[in-house]
Amino acid sequence: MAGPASTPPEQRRTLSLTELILGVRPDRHPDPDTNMPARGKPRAKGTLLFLLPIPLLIGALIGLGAGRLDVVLFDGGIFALFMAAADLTRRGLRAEHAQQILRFTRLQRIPLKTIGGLLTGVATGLAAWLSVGQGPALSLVYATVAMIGFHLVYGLEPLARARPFATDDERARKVAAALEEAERKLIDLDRAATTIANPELKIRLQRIGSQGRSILNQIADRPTDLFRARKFLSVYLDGVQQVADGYARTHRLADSRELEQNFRNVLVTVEQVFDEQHQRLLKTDVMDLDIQIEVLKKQLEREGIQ
Amino acid sequence: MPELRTIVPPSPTRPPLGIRLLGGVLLTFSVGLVSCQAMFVL
Repeated sequence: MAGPASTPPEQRRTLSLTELILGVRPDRHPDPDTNMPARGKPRAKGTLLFLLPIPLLIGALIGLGAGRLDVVLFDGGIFALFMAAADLTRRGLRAEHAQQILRFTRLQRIPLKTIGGLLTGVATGLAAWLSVGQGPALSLVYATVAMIGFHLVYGLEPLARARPFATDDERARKVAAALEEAERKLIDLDRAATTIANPELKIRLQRIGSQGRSILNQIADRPTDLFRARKFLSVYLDGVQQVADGYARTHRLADSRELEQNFRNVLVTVEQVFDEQHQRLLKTDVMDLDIQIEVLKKQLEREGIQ
Repeated sequence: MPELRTIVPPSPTRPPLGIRLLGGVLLTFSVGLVSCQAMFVL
């Protein structure tokens, strides 16, 4: 049976002084159980794509000074194409990073990075052909090299859109839909946390989000747990999301200590409820295993195997 | 019912540093070179 000793330290501890002073987030490092990557900003930002075409802008300005409208149009237009490609790539990288902490939800529907890569290739080819005056074949080579380089640095998205749950099982699909909906509520909770100025309340909300993800992972491990966690998914998660949204909207307008204290009390209660919910699911797992061991033992005894 | 965690597709991983460096060189060679050539055309 799971006792208090089996409670993960992450969920047992209260807010530490370091967390409060430095604002260290509890889910900064990957969780060894869920293997969730660290949050923060994405490491690749696509800066190279913004920097490399700058000479084109200078070329357009030189063309303007020399009174060459064709140079201004070609260089300026191709520079704008490069910037659009870089911007799409940056958005794609951000979306990809945001996706990495999600297990059950697919946020990105448009392959932004791939479009960014194709635009980079097209812009390179056009620059070689129209601005520099290379032949079409050599321009094509430049475009291809740029796209290969782009793919090696940033990677292109797969052509087929990834499905979070490739299953034909009807019940599994229902569980998957419930998990996706719950995860979207957790995303909203995270968003609300980022707009709250009070570091203690922010950390508490982030910790609730982290506990919620643990419960969702637990349900994903054993989909039958969904029915035991219905109240968590339909009542508590909804409630905390609505309260957090409401607090995030109003706390800047009405700076009330009473409101803050009430919100703190709600968060402490929710943390406890989420912790209990997680423990209950773990306990059920252990109970089920106990029963399976007992059944196996009885079966072995019946068959005369000691 | 199967465990749902097992059928969640893995998150995309970043390419190794050497591959990214090679990609950076190719990008710089193509985009950077063409841009610089375009600047000195006049």
